[in-house]
Amino acid sequence: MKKYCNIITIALILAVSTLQACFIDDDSHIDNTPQENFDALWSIIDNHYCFFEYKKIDWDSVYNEYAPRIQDKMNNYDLFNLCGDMLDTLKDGHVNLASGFSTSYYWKWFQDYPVNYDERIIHDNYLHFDFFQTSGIIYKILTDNIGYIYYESFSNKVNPSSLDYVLSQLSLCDGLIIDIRNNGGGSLSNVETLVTRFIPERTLAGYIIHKTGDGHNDFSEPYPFYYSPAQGHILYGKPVVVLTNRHTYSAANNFVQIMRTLPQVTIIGDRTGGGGGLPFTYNLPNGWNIRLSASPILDAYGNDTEWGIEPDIKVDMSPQAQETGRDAILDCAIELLSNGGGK
Amino acid sequence: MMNKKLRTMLCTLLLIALPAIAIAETNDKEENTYRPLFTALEINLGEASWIETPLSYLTYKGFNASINLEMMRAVKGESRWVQQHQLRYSLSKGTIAVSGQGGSWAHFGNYTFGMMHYSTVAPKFRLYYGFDLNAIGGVINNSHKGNNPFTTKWDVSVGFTGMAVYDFQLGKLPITARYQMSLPIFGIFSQQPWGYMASGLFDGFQLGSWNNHFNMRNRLHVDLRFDSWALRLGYNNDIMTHYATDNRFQYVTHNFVIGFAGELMRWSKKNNKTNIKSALYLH
Repeated sequence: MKKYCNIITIALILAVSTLQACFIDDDSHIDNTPQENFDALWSIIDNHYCFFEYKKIDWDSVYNEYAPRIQDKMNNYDLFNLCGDMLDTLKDGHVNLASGFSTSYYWKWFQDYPVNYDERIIHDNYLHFDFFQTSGIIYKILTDNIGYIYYESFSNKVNPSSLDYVLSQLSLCDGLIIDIRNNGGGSLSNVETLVTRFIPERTLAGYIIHKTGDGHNDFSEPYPFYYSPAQGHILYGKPVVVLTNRHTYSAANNFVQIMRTLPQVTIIGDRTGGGGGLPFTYNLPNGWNIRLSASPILDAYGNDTEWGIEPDIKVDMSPQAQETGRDAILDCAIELLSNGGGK
Repeated sequence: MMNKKLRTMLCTLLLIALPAIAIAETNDKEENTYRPLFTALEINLGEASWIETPLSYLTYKGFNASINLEMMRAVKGESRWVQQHQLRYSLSKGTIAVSGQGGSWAHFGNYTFGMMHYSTVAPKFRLYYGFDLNAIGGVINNSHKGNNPFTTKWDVSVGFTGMAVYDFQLGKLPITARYQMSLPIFGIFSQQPWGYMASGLFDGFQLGSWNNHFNMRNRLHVDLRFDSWALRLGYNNDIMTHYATDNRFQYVTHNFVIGFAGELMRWSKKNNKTNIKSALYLH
């Protein structure tokens, strides 16, 4: 009996040791060819992109249009350009294909709109090249006792203690202008750092939705997310104006999305560029990276802001005013705050 | 991916067959004796391949290096049980398997506690069988950055472990050859749905069984025993898989092993007269 049991034991050990083949998938069928890379790109977008329904895009027909143009011996540049053209059909600034030699961008989300920002006019005629600068923030008290902050990119880490210095310096002003024109976005943690200085209590910041499957409509329930006032730091409760243009995009768009719900905040300028989807990145077999909008971030009212946010007061910079060195959007903000602010 | 029916069938067969092993147990009596602590320190060098779909749909392949500390000791008394502790840190770095492009890192820390009973099949051949508790924590990073640059992995599981040990001599050199397999059956693990930035550190916890979670460890070693220490050479193979939250995670390593092993004993003349109850080596 003992002998048989030991034989069974040995046999079991050997049998189980072969089990791994049953549980490990073999990816060896994937090749690094133009067709495989194109198919991988199309499939990743098909499975993960979150705005197909919202933008009414028929992704299958896009495949049918572009796939026949793939050739076995096409070079990397041609393949890259073809893939980039296909991605443009998504009309999304968050969709980029990055290779070792180039990155594809969709430009039209701001290309057809007024620029509405001229750094030189502001530096010459409002800041007079005399301002403070910290944590990627330029700030100064303007002549009408209005505080001015220019934040170029949410990729620049906002140091909380530096922000204390900024708000402390501007605390005696009658109001504050936060200029995020040409701010192309960055990190949502910097959005939170900034927003939490303007909210008096825990505030619903918005909702995030995730893809839960490969289907175009496979979404989770919206998860609410909240911001709380920055404990132990300087808060600002006076009227605030946020300046936007079409190049206010992605995390900057999220900043506007939250700030505009606050009663003391007014949005002035042009419609933001949007970019309301949290982008994720994946690889193609050849090592190129594809970034795409994967998780919609909704505002506190449950609205999608992928196409941008309308300002409370729509103002464009006029060429005539620019010729005289004036920024019509900034002037509008100064006037509003000088008169007590408010929407 | 293996279908669930086949996994369930294999699992059932194994569960039915394993109790038969216990019948093979002998009732040999031993006097209470000195129980040295068997210790081995291994360096593992080899290759790893992994796929973590929240980060990338492609398999990454590269080198693996790990350091492994093993301790075993016979349990006090007349029983034929031994305890085993294994502590390991593993680092893998690789590129996309199909093109050698891109980059990814995997870090894992691992602790295993095992209890095994042994029976002597032949004078120099023993079989160990028992259970082990395995705890793993790790991070997988992908160089593409973005909002899904890494995922965290947690895995605590309980399963079977078995070991075959054979002692022989090469000339005058005593050698202990050993094959050990660990096979977790159920546990709890995390499979983050969308990567760390969107998921959070502890999101995606699941109850694990063979339909969504299959891990295995194979260890094949020979200890060349030089007096009070041994040179360990061998091969280690680790497999960790999770199938959950509409994602797939697979991590497989194959390593060459080199290390030192030995039984830590307080030196005393009495040791020469005392029976030594070793966890692994025959005396």
